[in-house]
Amino acid sequence: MRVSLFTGNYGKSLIILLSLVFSYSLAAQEIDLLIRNGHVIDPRNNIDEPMDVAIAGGKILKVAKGIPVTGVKKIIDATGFFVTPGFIDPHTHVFVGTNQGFADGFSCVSPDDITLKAGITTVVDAGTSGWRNFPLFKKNIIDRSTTRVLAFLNIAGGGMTGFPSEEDMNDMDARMTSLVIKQYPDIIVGVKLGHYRGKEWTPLERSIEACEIAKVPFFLECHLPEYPLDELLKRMRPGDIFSHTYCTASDRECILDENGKLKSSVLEAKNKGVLFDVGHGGAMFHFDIAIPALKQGLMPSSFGSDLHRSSMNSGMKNMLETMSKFLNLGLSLKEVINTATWSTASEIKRNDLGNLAAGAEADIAIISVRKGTFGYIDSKNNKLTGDRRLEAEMTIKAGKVVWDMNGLGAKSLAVK
Amino acid sequence: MQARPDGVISEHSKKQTIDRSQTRILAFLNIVGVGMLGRFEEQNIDDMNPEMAAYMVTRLFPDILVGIKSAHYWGPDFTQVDQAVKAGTIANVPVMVDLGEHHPPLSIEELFMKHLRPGDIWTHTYANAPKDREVPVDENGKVKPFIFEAQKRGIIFDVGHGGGAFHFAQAVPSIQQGFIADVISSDLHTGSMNGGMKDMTNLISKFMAMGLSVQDVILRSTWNPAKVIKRPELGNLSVGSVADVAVFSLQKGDFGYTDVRAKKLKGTQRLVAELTIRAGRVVWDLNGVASQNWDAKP
Repeated sequence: MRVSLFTGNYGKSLIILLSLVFSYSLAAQEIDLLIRNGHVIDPRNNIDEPMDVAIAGGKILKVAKGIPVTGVKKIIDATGFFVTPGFIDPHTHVFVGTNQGFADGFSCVSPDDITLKAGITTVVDAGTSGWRNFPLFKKNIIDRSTTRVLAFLNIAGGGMTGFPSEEDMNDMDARMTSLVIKQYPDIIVGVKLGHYRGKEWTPLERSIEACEIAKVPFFLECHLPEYPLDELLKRMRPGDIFSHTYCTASDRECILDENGKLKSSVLEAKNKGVLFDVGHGGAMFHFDIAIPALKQGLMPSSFGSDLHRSSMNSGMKNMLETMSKFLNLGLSLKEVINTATWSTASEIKRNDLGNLAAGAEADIAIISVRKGTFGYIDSKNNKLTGDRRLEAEMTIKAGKVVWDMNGLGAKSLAVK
Repeated sequence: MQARPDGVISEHSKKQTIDRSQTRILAFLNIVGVGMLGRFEEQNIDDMNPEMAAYMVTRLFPDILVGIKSAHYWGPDFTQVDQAVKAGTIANVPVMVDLGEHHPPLSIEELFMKHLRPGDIWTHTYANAPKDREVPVDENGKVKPFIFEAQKRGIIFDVGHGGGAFHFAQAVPSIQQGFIADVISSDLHTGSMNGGMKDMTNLISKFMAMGLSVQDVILRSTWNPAKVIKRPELGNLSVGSVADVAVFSLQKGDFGYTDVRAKKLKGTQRLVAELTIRAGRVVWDLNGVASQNWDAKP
């Protein structure tokens, strides 16, 4: 005769007892970190108002008004600041090493040196590595960085090894590239092409082929002087990303015609779902292109910085500075935050990032908007004068404070 | 100045970092041949060769190497310091000492008076880990008298903030009682760059928050270090010097400065690096003072 534990009066009491214990333990889940009194902007979840953010076990526990402080291990008072998901920079070169140049090279930059002090918790490397040296990139940089490092894989097997090795069509293998993407599905988010000086479309075709097999987006870089813009945009698919959007360059046709109008091929691409990344860099962002382009409705879907050794000390500086630029170019703060978080997360098909939903990894930026007179510099060394600059007060990665500009999270005051 | 991670074996590092950077990189050479390879390697007395270290300084890289470094030693005595001083004496360069962790702690009075020479440098001045290393401020909050004697003798006190070597509990009473580090330095590495130290501009601002004037902090981050490393052509704006120039603004507001134990000191101002010029070239421009307006008429 089978006896159920839960039948009869004894069983009913047991059910009630177990429910009480269970719900008590849920209600009493300890909050590790509570960010109070900040203005939360979480575009994915439609939040743009004062809210408290509770973090437990490295994840968002909840975002709500007036979360009780009893039992909270640590409280951050974010009065006067905005609390947002940690920013995502989809265009960086962080495969730093000792070679000349980019791949495992000195032209790259170690991500933690730049990101955490700018509210950036995730970067995507823009194809500095290819399928051959991705494991080295992972071992040397990705696994050792506090910043979450994701990657576009270069269609060139060795990644950015410089001219002419990067142009070797014999080392552009769609199958191998797609196999390595499938080997690291949590890290590799797409395929990148750049730096090809020939007329052949083969490199682009191989890139798209790899994307089709691995079901990932294509990321278009620069230095493809023989690829006409309209043909390029025609071959790009919905969800593919066009970088270095707002510039004039000798090896890239401008998105504007001689009269400053957005070319029809650009509008068609935008309408079919091609996404446009800023890709600022040391040379690829110009106010005299960006301002008319924005006026005509070509908004960026991401603020890629093109971080590398030459851009980090130029007008670009870091992605937070790029965000401030766009704030002063007419985007609202909410639009800027959306572009830097949810829009970029969607672009790389990482819906787990760029938002503060319960259960999401607790990657958070606490920023202030400083008022004053500021100069913003483009890649022609031209200046735009603005009245606001974003500053990173605190950055939190997986629930841990990794940057604290003014000691918001300090344990106590020093005795003076 | 780089308190050199590698010792005798350094040609590779020079090519990969020093030759490629816009920043001028000078270096202290570690007395341990393999440099800061690891804590155990740094204990190896057999790899501390004063003659070899001195050759590197005088024969191979006299323009780059400015001194000898002794660090992280655990042994029961001053052996590593003495070997470093031997090298420094042969090469006629200063020695910088990070006195490591000795259990029981070695006497810093003996270090300053018996082992180091005038011009030698003791770093991590305001660290507060008395179980590992004797501290300048005693349990009653008083700076020990021999500290002043040592400074008079010519021992150089360097901040070396780092990720673990700057505590307000040592720094604040020291400064109040007139014991001020001769050189303000960062101990820049991955463990300090995102912590309380951040960067040199924040660091010298922290010293202003503790009461130093802007002239005082500029002295201790330019001319004093230049003299200490015997490079008097640096750290000043004399006619004929290399045009290495920094332009700062002073921001007023409500700021917080933290030490390595997450203690906070409030401040009402912070320096901001507006413009940096290296050998006459603008290498950093925060607000476009060296730019023209994008819509300026040509």
